[in-house]
Amino acid sequence: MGVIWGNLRTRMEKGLVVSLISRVWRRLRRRKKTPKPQDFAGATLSELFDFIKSQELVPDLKENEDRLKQILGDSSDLTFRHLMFGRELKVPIMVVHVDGMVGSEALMNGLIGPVLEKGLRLPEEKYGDHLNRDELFALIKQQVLLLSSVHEVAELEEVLDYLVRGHAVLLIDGVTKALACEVKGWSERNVEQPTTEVVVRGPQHAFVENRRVNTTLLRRTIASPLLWFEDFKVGAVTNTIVTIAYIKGIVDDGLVEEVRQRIKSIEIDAVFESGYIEELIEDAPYSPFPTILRTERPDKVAAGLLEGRVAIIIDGTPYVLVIPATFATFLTAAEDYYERAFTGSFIRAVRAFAFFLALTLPSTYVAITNFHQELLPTSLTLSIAAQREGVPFVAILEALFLEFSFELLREAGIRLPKAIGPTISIVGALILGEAAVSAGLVSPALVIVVAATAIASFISPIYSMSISVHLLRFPMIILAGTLGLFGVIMGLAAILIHLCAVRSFGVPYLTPLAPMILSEWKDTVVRLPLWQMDTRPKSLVKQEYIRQSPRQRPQPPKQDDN
Amino acid sequence: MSRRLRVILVALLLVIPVVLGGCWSRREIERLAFVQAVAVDKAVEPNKIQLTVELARPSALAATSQGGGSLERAVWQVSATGYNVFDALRNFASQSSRQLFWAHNRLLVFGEDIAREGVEDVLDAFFRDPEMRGSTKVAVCKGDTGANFLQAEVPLERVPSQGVVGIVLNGVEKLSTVVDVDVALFGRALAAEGLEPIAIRAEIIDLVSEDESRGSLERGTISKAPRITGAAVFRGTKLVGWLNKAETRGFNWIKGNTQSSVIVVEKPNERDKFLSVELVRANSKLRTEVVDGKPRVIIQIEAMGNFADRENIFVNPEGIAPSVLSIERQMATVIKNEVEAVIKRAKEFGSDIFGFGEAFHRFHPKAWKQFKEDWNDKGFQELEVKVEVKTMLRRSGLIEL
Repeated sequence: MGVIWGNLRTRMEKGLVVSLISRVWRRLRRRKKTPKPQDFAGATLSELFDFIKSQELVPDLKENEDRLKQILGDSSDLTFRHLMFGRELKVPIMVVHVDGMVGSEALMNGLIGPVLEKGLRLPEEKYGDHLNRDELFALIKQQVLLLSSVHEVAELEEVLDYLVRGHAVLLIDGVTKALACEVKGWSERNVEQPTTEVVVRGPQHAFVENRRVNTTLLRRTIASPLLWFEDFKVGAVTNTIVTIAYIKGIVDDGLVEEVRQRIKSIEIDAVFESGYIEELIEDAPYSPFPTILRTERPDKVAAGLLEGRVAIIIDGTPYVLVIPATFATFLTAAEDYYERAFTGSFIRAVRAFAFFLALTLPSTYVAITNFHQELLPTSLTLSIAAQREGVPFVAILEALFLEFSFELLREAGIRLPKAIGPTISIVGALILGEAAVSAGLVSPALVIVVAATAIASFISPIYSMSISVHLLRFPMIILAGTLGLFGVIMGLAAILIHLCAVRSFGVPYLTPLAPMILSEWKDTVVRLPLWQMDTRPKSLVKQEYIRQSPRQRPQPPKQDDN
Repeated sequence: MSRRLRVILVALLLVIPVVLGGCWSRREIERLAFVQAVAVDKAVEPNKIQLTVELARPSALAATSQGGGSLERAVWQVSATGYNVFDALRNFASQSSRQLFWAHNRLLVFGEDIAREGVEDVLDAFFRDPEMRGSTKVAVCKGDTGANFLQAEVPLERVPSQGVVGIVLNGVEKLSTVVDVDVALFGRALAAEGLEPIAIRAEIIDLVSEDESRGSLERGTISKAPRITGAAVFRGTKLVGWLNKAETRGFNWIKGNTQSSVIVVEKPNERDKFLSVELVRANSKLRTEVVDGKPRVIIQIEAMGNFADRENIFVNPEGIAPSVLSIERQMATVIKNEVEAVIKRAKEFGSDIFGFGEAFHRFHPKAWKQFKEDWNDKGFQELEVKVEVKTMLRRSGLIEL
């Protein structure tokens, strides 16, 4: 009973349990003794898990085959290949794999070919009838297979696991062990240019869906034995492999342990994207701001690792998580470090300003035109008044409409098939922009405001942050329309208070501004030249604080006069 | 009460006031009538005053950018009367479809009549109402009503008051024969001891000259133009007289307000031939002394200029080039004459517009107690003023002196 419950707890998502609890409970009670046999009709997920767990490999090949077929529902992509080992001996061997997941070349040349060949060449008279099956097993494993990765497995559950991950499993008649041979070879996207985090100067490759390719990209960036990877299996059904990466010696061990614990405590049935993990381990689930950085750039992840951060690579998505992440992280692009320091600092200032603009421009417009007409220069006031003349909606509604239609455009632009994409921009620009203005439905000034805001909001290199700003704009507009600039300031104060309260894995979100850590300003407020960034962030690194030797400013050699 | 319920209740408590207060005192920008200038005059009825406002017409202003409609006036003038300013302000509601909005008011003009009688009763609203700006310029229309002055337009500008303010700023910057006085400054002078207010002196001139076609701009109705020169001198809240151009510059020399100007001096050795010096920089220092119980001020003025213009340069190219020293000496004379003239005039008006009294109040507070009772009539009249002028000629431009 306790085992079953424990099993449930570790394998099933809690929500599922809650919804199914009564039914599962009754069935579990009814059938205490043996797991449900042959017929799976009406079986629940947990019953199936239990059944799989209870099954073992048996010496008889045929029975093993039947069992695999039964558990996999005789799926059409399941392929069995029966071989006979030896000219006279004729030991039955079975190779199982999932079609499409293995490379046929590797399967042929590394597995089936060598096994058959060895069988034919085996000096049988030496062995006679006495060839021990376990010895044969060891022989094949050690001397025959031309494969780099072969695992010995004893449990049926493991066999299944390897099978669905693209291994070919070799079973020998009379042996209750199997060999899982890595012959993966499914078709996949190549490493390509990043699509959401483009740089002009810098590495032009991005992560892909394959976790192994992604760890490789990291290894190639950081060729150090101290780059450590740790795997976790998350998702009761999807069995997604989640890898955490860190640099031993730089990273704070406490942080790694915390990440480990949080990942381990996830009980969910499926993980499709890093967003799942992000949502299940983040510190501020109700915050509109992301507290975990996601990026598709290996260089960005590598830089994070070298600052003592931990990366989480999730199989099946090109977006890697980097934790902890502070507010400043989201206003930083990789290119800041590749271009000259002045450029980097300037761009950062522009980004900070744009963030503020995106958040407050529409609301400030509404507040000023509704409450504080004295704040603008006379000619601008009159110009806005003239544009507003004849516009049927009050300014706040007008602003909300236009912002909303911009969101429509944005969303439609993303979702639409690529071929129709340009159509939407034309329709949006012409109909919404031009025609709405000339029809007198909206004032041109507001169109300018919304357009400027839209551009400003996308200046954050991380899309998640842009979206947060988009969201916050609406309450800000409502505050502005009801309370004027007072409301805008209240809204900003609320956001600021929230930002001060949020933490990301123990690091306050506004670090290094609040709490103030002056030494980190070198890479936050400005981007100092590399030869001045001698230390790692104090907020992340506990021991290896010094990064490089100081006084590295390059200068021409001194001329000797004599 | 569960935690969740409590959170929801607190959230509601926070949100509801926002919604309940919703749009309190919200005014859509297009529902406002932007006052660009206001004229205060005596009304025909006794004891009443008449306010005339110049309201901007945004639609007409915007029309220019689309080409047509340039004949349309960009402003609308409307008058209302009342027992005091606030009364008259509210009476506009019977004529204007939009609420008057005062924060963009540029100009406050008093008619000469009401200024002579005293503006004390009408100033309160301009200081008290938060919508009124301290930066609104204060002018008095010489020889006419403020309402008539608002009719005068500068053809360069679509909004007349913008033209007037433009002239004031341009005059201060280029001529220094104009004073720049706003409501805040006017109020400060009224409140201060030993300082009397002055205001911008505004006049109406005929724009349409003998030659009709010259400068014709098709906006057929423009026939009067504003001219700003000199200053209006108040004693307390009553207008007592006018300063002319030279006197006003004298006033500016003393106050150190001279920015740039032209000093025309007679050419040495040649009668009726003139040369001018462009003033580059000037500043003044005021020292106060009490000698034998009598007040005395010493004004030190420093002026620096560039040689700008000289008559007869080709007729007599080599001739006798004027010496730098002689020009500097003549500049000093001109400045000194102007300063003395304005002091003499102020004494005639019995109005210490320079704030000499205030300086005494500040630096000789004990002595001031004796003067302050009848400063304008006695102390100021007996005041001995010593003017010291230092001048310097700096450059002669691209050609020789």
